[in-house]
Amino acid sequence: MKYKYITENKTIEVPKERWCWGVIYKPTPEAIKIAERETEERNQKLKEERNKRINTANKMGVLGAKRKEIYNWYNKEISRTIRPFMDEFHQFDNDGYFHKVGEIDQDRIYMASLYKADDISKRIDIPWREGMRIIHKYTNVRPAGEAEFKRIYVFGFKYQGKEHLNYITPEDRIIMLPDQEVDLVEIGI
Amino acid sequence: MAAIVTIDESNGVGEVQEVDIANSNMGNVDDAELDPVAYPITPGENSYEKWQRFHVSDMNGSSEISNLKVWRTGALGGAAVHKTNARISDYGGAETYAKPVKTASAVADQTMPTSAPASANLGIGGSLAGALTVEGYSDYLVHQIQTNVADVAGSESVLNFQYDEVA
Repeated sequence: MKYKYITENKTIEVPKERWCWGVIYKPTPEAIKIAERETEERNQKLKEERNKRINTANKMGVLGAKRKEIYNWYNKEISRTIRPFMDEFHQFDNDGYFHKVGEIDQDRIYMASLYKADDISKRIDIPWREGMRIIHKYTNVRPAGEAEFKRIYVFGFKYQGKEHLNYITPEDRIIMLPDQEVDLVEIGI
Repeated sequence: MAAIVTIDESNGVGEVQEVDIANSNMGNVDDAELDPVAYPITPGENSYEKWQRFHVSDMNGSSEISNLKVWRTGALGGAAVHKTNARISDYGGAETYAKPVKTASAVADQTMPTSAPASANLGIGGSLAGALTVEGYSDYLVHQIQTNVADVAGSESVLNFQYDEVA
Protein backbone atom coordinates (compact mmCIF):
# COMPACT_ATOMS: atom_id res chain seq x y z
CA MET A 1 0.00 0.00 0.00
CA LYS A 2 1.17 3.49 -0.80
CA TYR A 3 0.43 6.52 1.30
CA LYS A 4 -0.05 10.09 0.21
CA TYR A 5 2.11 12.99 1.20
CA ILE A 6 0.89 16.38 0.10
CA THR A 7 3.49 19.08 -0.40
CA GLU A 8 2.81 22.63 -1.48
CA ASN A 9 2.51 21.82 -5.15
CA LYS A 10 2.24 18.08 -5.55
CA THR A 11 1.12 14.84 -4.01
CA ILE A 12 3.74 12.17 -3.54
CA GLU A 13 2.97 8.50 -3.15
CA VAL A 14 5.03 7.07 -0.33
CA PRO A 15 5.59 3.34 0.17
CA LYS A 16 5.33 2.21 3.76
CA GLU A 17 8.63 1.84 5.58
CA ARG A 18 9.62 -1.47 7.17
CA TRP A 19 9.79 0.27 10.52
CA CYS A 20 7.47 3.17 11.29
CA TRP A 21 7.15 5.62 14.13
CA GLY A 22 4.03 6.41 16.07
CA VAL A 23 3.26 8.48 19.13
CA ILE A 24 0.52 8.47 21.73
CA TYR A 25 -0.30 11.93 22.95
CA LYS A 26 -1.07 12.84 26.52
CA PRO A 27 -4.80 13.18 27.17
CA THR A 28 -6.27 16.62 26.82
CA PRO A 29 -7.75 18.30 29.92
CA GLU A 30 -11.21 17.69 28.40
CA ALA A 31 -10.46 13.98 27.97
CA ILE A 32 -9.27 13.78 31.57
CA LYS A 33 -12.48 15.45 32.77
CA ILE A 34 -14.57 13.02 30.76
CA ALA A 35 -12.67 10.06 32.21
CA GLU A 36 -13.09 11.43 35.72
CA ARG A 37 -16.81 11.90 35.16
CA GLU A 38 -17.13 8.37 33.76
CA THR A 39 -15.20 7.03 36.74
CA GLU A 40 -17.51 8.81 39.16
CA GLU A 41 -20.61 7.51 37.42
CA ARG A 42 -19.17 4.00 37.23
CA ASN A 43 -18.26 4.07 40.93
CA GLN A 44 -21.73 5.26 41.89
CA LYS A 45 -23.31 2.39 39.95
CA LEU A 46 -20.92 -0.10 41.52
CA LYS A 47 -21.78 1.13 44.99
CA GLU A 48 -25.47 0.80 44.25
CA GLU A 49 -24.97 -2.69 42.89
CA ARG A 50 -22.84 -3.65 45.90
CA ASN A 51 -25.50 -2.40 48.29
CA LYS A 52 -28.17 -4.23 46.35
CA ARG A 53 -26.22 -7.49 46.55
CA ILE A 54 -25.63 -7.02 50.29
CA ASN A 55 -29.32 -6.35 50.91
CA THR A 56 -30.34 -9.38 48.87
CA ALA A 57 -27.86 -11.61 50.69
CA ASN A 58 -29.02 -10.20 54.01
CA LYS A 59 -32.66 -10.89 53.23
CA MET A 60 -31.72 -14.43 52.26
CA GLY A 61 -29.76 -14.83 55.47
CA VAL A 62 -26.51 -15.63 53.66
CA LEU A 63 -24.67 -12.31 54.10
CA GLY A 64 -22.00 -13.87 56.32
CA ALA A 65 -21.14 -16.38 53.61
CA LYS A 66 -21.47 -13.93 50.73
CA ARG A 67 -19.87 -10.81 52.19
CA LYS A 68 -16.30 -11.70 51.16
CA GLU A 69 -17.38 -12.62 47.62
CA ILE A 70 -19.35 -9.37 47.21
CA TYR A 71 -16.52 -7.19 48.47
CA ASN A 72 -13.94 -9.02 46.37
CA TRP A 73 -16.04 -8.35 43.30
CA TYR A 74 -16.64 -4.73 44.29
CA ASN A 75 -12.97 -3.98 45.06
CA LYS A 76 -11.84 -5.54 41.82
CA GLU A 77 -14.33 -3.59 39.72
CA ILE A 78 -13.83 -0.24 41.41
CA SER A 79 -10.06 -0.46 41.08
CA ARG A 80 -10.24 -0.68 37.28
CA THR A 81 -8.87 2.51 35.78
CA ILE A 82 -10.93 4.30 33.16
CA ARG A 83 -8.21 5.82 31.01
CA PRO A 84 -8.87 9.10 29.28
CA PHE A 85 -8.90 9.00 25.49
CA MET A 86 -5.42 9.55 24.04
CA ASP A 87 -4.82 10.60 20.46
CA GLU A 88 -2.37 8.62 18.38
CA PHE A 89 -0.31 10.02 15.53
CA HIS A 90 1.43 7.70 13.10
CA GLN A 91 3.95 8.14 10.33
CA PHE A 92 1.57 6.21 8.10
CA ASP A 93 -1.94 6.93 9.30
CA ASN A 94 -5.16 4.98 8.92
CA ASP A 95 -6.48 7.46 6.37
CA GLY A 96 -3.66 6.66 3.97
CA TYR A 97 -1.44 9.67 4.62
CA PHE A 98 2.27 9.89 5.33
CA HIS A 99 3.52 12.27 8.01
CA LYS A 100 6.94 13.72 8.64
CA VAL A 101 8.58 13.48 12.02
CA GLY A 102 8.56 17.27 12.19
CA GLU A 103 4.77 17.17 12.40
CA ILE A 104 4.87 15.54 15.84
CA ASP A 105 3.87 17.84 18.69
CA GLN A 106 6.70 16.73 20.95
CA ASP A 107 5.45 18.60 24.00
CA ARG A 108 2.32 16.45 24.02
CA ILE A 109 3.93 13.01 23.74
CA TYR A 110 3.01 10.36 26.27
CA MET A 111 4.75 7.46 24.50
CA ALA A 112 6.84 7.27 21.34
CA SER A 113 7.34 4.05 19.45
CA LEU A 114 9.09 2.61 16.45
CA TYR A 115 7.45 -0.60 15.30
CA LYS A 116 7.86 -3.09 12.53
CA ALA A 117 5.13 -2.47 10.00
CA ASP A 118 4.21 -6.12 9.49
CA ASP A 119 4.49 -7.16 13.13
CA ILE A 120 3.87 -4.43 15.67
CA SER A 121 4.86 -6.72 18.52
CA LYS A 122 8.41 -5.99 17.39
CA ARG A 123 8.82 -2.48 18.66
CA ILE A 124 10.75 0.03 20.69
CA ASP A 125 8.62 1.96 23.17
CA ILE A 126 9.85 5.10 24.84
CA PRO A 127 7.72 6.38 27.74
CA TRP A 128 8.12 10.12 27.42
CA ARG A 129 9.46 12.60 29.89
CA GLU A 130 9.20 16.33 29.71
CA GLY A 131 12.14 17.77 27.83
CA MET A 132 12.82 14.72 25.67
CA ARG A 133 13.27 15.26 21.96
CA ILE A 134 12.77 12.57 19.34
CA ILE A 135 15.60 11.58 17.05
CA HIS A 136 14.38 9.81 13.94
CA LYS A 137 16.30 9.55 10.72
CA TYR A 138 17.61 7.11 8.18
CA THR A 139 21.31 6.49 7.93
CA ASN A 140 22.07 5.19 4.47
CA VAL A 141 25.29 3.27 4.01
CA ARG A 142 26.84 2.03 0.81
CA PRO A 143 29.40 -0.41 2.18
CA ALA A 144 32.60 -1.02 0.33
CA GLY A 145 32.10 -3.28 -2.64
CA GLU A 146 28.35 -2.76 -2.87
CA ALA A 147 26.53 -0.68 -5.42
CA GLU A 148 23.41 0.09 -3.37
CA PHE A 149 22.81 2.07 -0.22
CA LYS A 150 21.43 0.14 2.74
CA ARG A 151 18.86 1.84 4.94
CA ILE A 152 19.28 1.86 8.70
CA TYR A 153 16.48 3.18 10.88
CA VAL A 154 17.67 5.44 13.66
CA PHE A 155 15.26 6.08 16.51
CA GLY A 156 15.77 7.45 19.97
CA PHE A 157 15.78 10.62 21.94
CA LYS A 158 17.85 13.41 23.35
CA TYR A 159 17.37 14.09 27.03
CA GLN A 160 19.29 16.33 29.39
CA GLY A 161 21.94 16.86 26.73
CA LYS A 162 22.54 13.18 26.05
CA GLU A 163 21.44 11.00 23.17
CA HIS A 164 20.06 7.49 23.37
CA LEU A 165 19.79 5.84 19.99
CA ASN A 166 18.67 2.59 18.45
CA TYR A 167 19.96 1.62 15.02
CA ILE A 168 17.87 -1.02 13.25
CA THR A 169 19.76 -2.86 10.55
CA PRO A 170 18.34 -4.31 7.34
CA GLU A 171 18.21 -7.67 9.16
CA ASP A 172 16.27 -6.08 12.05
CA ARG A 173 19.18 -6.24 14.45
CA ILE A 174 18.91 -3.48 17.02
CA ILE A 175 22.10 -1.71 18.02
CA MET A 176 21.93 0.67 20.97
CA LEU A 177 24.28 3.63 21.21
CA PRO A 178 24.83 6.68 23.37
CA ASP A 179 25.69 8.84 20.35
CA GLN A 180 25.83 8.88 16.58
CA GLU A 181 29.46 7.83 16.31
CA VAL A 182 29.30 4.35 14.91
CA ASP A 183 31.04 2.50 12.10
CA LEU A 184 28.08 0.56 10.78
CA VAL A 185 30.24 -1.28 8.28
CA GLU A 186 32.54 -2.50 11.02
CA ILE A 187 29.64 -4.02 12.92
CA GLY A 188 28.45 -5.90 9.91
CA ILE A 189 25.91 -3.84 8.00
CA MET B 1 9.80 7.97 1.62
CA ALA B 2 13.34 7.79 0.40
CA ALA B 3 15.31 10.36 -1.49
CA ILE B 4 17.10 9.08 -4.57
CA VAL B 5 20.81 9.42 -3.93
CA THR B 6 23.62 8.24 -6.15
CA ILE B 7 27.37 8.63 -6.25
CA ASP B 8 28.36 10.36 -9.48
CA GLU B 9 31.86 10.75 -10.90
CA SER B 10 33.21 13.50 -13.12
CA ASN B 11 35.96 12.95 -15.64
CA GLY B 12 37.72 14.73 -18.47
CA VAL B 13 38.22 18.34 -19.36
CA GLY B 14 34.57 18.94 -20.07
CA GLU B 15 33.39 17.16 -16.94
CA VAL B 16 31.73 14.10 -18.36
CA GLN B 17 29.55 12.81 -15.60
CA GLU B 18 29.00 9.14 -14.84
CA VAL B 19 25.82 8.80 -12.81
CA ASP B 20 25.48 6.15 -10.10
CA ILE B 21 28.90 4.61 -10.36
CA ALA B 22 29.16 0.94 -9.49
CA ASN B 23 32.67 1.24 -8.04
CA SER B 24 35.53 3.62 -7.29
CA ASN B 25 38.25 1.64 -9.03
CA MET B 26 41.40 3.73 -9.28
CA GLY B 27 44.10 3.43 -11.88
CA ASN B 28 46.18 4.92 -14.63
CA VAL B 29 43.32 6.39 -16.62
CA ASP B 30 40.84 9.19 -16.01
CA ASP B 31 37.65 7.19 -16.28
CA ALA B 32 34.78 6.04 -14.11
CA GLU B 33 34.46 2.35 -13.24
CA LEU B 34 37.85 1.72 -14.81
CA ASP B 35 39.45 -1.70 -15.14
CA PRO B 36 42.37 -1.66 -12.68
CA VAL B 37 43.94 -4.70 -14.33
CA ALA B 38 44.03 -2.96 -17.69
CA TYR B 39 45.09 0.37 -16.15
CA PRO B 40 47.26 -0.41 -13.11
CA ILE B 41 48.99 2.38 -11.24
CA THR B 42 52.68 2.36 -12.11
CA PRO B 43 54.72 1.88 -8.92
CA GLY B 44 56.11 5.21 -7.83
CA GLU B 45 53.34 7.10 -9.60
CA ASN B 46 49.85 8.11 -8.61
CA SER B 47 46.40 7.14 -9.71
CA TYR B 48 44.36 9.72 -11.50
CA GLU B 49 42.36 11.76 -9.06
CA LYS B 50 38.76 10.81 -8.54
CA TRP B 51 36.20 13.61 -8.44
CA GLN B 52 32.97 12.22 -7.04
CA ARG B 53 29.84 13.66 -5.50
CA PHE B 54 26.71 12.59 -3.70
CA HIS B 55 23.86 13.44 -6.04
CA VAL B 56 20.31 13.85 -4.78
CA SER B 57 18.19 13.58 -7.91
CA ASP B 58 14.85 13.46 -6.10
CA MET B 59 14.14 14.46 -2.52
CA ASN B 60 10.96 12.44 -2.89
CA GLY B 61 9.39 14.29 0.01
CA SER B 62 12.32 13.95 2.40
CA SER B 63 13.30 17.05 4.33
CA GLU B 64 17.04 16.89 4.49
CA ILE B 65 20.15 15.03 3.40
CA SER B 66 23.24 15.67 5.51
CA ASN B 67 26.13 14.23 7.52
CA LEU B 68 28.10 12.84 4.58
CA LYS B 69 30.83 10.38 5.41
CA VAL B 70 33.39 8.66 3.25
CA TRP B 71 36.03 6.16 4.27
CA ARG B 72 38.08 3.31 2.91
CA THR B 73 38.01 -0.37 3.78
CA GLY B 74 41.13 -2.44 3.14
CA ALA B 75 44.84 -1.85 3.46
CA LEU B 76 46.89 -0.39 0.65
CA GLY B 77 49.88 -2.33 -0.61
CA GLY B 78 53.42 -1.33 0.35
CA ALA B 79 53.96 2.30 1.24
CA ALA B 80 51.10 3.62 -0.87
CA VAL B 81 48.91 6.31 0.61
CA HIS B 82 45.34 7.29 -0.13
CA LYS B 83 44.85 11.03 -0.08
CA THR B 84 41.61 12.98 -0.02
CA ASN B 85 40.11 16.38 0.60
CA ALA B 86 37.61 14.78 3.03
CA ARG B 87 38.19 15.69 6.65
CA ILE B 88 36.22 16.26 9.81
CA SER B 89 37.83 19.56 10.79
CA ASP B 90 39.48 22.48 9.05
CA TYR B 91 37.43 21.61 6.00
CA GLY B 92 38.70 23.35 2.91
CA GLY B 93 35.28 24.14 1.47
CA ALA B 94 33.78 23.16 -1.86
CA GLU B 95 36.28 22.46 -4.61
CA THR B 96 35.73 23.67 -8.15
CA TYR B 97 35.94 20.90 -10.69
CA ALA B 98 39.20 20.56 -12.57
CA LYS B 99 40.26 17.80 -14.91
CA PRO B 100 41.61 14.92 -12.79
CA VAL B 101 45.38 14.73 -12.75
CA LYS B 102 47.85 11.97 -11.96
CA THR B 103 50.48 14.27 -10.55
CA ALA B 104 50.32 14.57 -6.77
CA SER B 105 46.94 16.10 -6.07
CA ALA B 106 46.97 19.63 -4.77
CA VAL B 107 43.42 19.18 -3.50
CA ALA B 108 43.63 15.75 -1.87
CA ASP B 109 46.10 16.38 0.91
CA GLN B 110 44.58 14.47 3.84
CA THR B 111 44.78 10.76 4.59
CA MET B 112 41.62 8.87 3.70
CA PRO B 113 40.11 7.47 6.93
CA THR B 114 39.96 3.70 7.26
CA SER B 115 36.95 3.62 9.56
CA ALA B 116 33.77 5.64 9.66
CA PRO B 117 34.59 9.18 10.76
CA ALA B 118 32.90 10.39 13.91
CA SER B 119 31.21 13.19 12.04
CA ALA B 120 30.72 14.42 8.50
CA ASN B 121 33.93 14.58 6.48
CA LEU B 122 32.48 15.80 3.19
CA GLY B 123 30.59 19.04 2.94
CA ILE B 124 27.50 20.37 1.29
CA GLY B 125 27.66 23.90 0.01
CA GLY B 126 31.19 24.20 1.31
CA SER B 127 30.34 23.29 4.89
CA LEU B 128 30.50 20.05 6.86
CA ALA B 129 27.32 21.17 8.61
CA GLY B 130 25.58 21.78 5.30
CA ALA B 131 22.43 19.99 4.20
CA LEU B 132 20.56 19.44 0.99
CA THR B 133 16.89 20.30 1.28
CA VAL B 134 16.25 20.24 -2.46
CA GLU B 135 17.78 18.20 -5.26
CA GLY B 136 21.47 18.87 -5.79
CA TYR B 137 25.01 17.78 -5.17
CA SER B 138 27.45 17.53 -2.31
CA ASP B 139 30.86 19.09 -2.56
CA TYR B 140 33.34 17.11 -4.65
CA LEU B 141 35.10 14.26 -2.96
CA VAL B 142 38.58 14.31 -4.43
CA HIS B 143 40.90 11.40 -3.74
CA GLN B 144 44.00 9.80 -5.15
CA ILE B 145 46.30 6.87 -4.42
CA GLN B 146 49.98 7.76 -4.32
CA THR B 147 52.43 4.88 -4.55
CA ASN B 148 56.06 4.15 -3.91
CA VAL B 149 58.44 2.60 -6.44
CA ALA B 150 58.77 -0.47 -4.22
CA ASP B 151 55.02 -1.07 -4.18
CA VAL B 152 53.61 -4.00 -6.10
CA ALA B 153 50.24 -4.36 -7.72
CA GLY B 154 47.51 -6.37 -6.11
CA SER B 155 46.11 -4.55 -3.12
CA GLU B 156 42.42 -4.03 -3.02
CA SER B 157 40.57 -1.35 -1.15
CA VAL B 158 37.16 0.09 -1.58
CA LEU B 159 35.19 3.09 -0.45
CA ASN B 160 32.21 3.34 1.88
CA PHE B 161 29.70 6.15 1.51
CA GLN B 162 27.14 7.21 4.09
CA TYR B 163 24.53 9.94 4.54
CA ASP B 164 21.66 10.76 6.85
CA GLU B 165 18.15 11.41 5.67
CA VAL B 166 15.36 13.05 7.62
CA ALA B 167 11.78 12.72 6.43
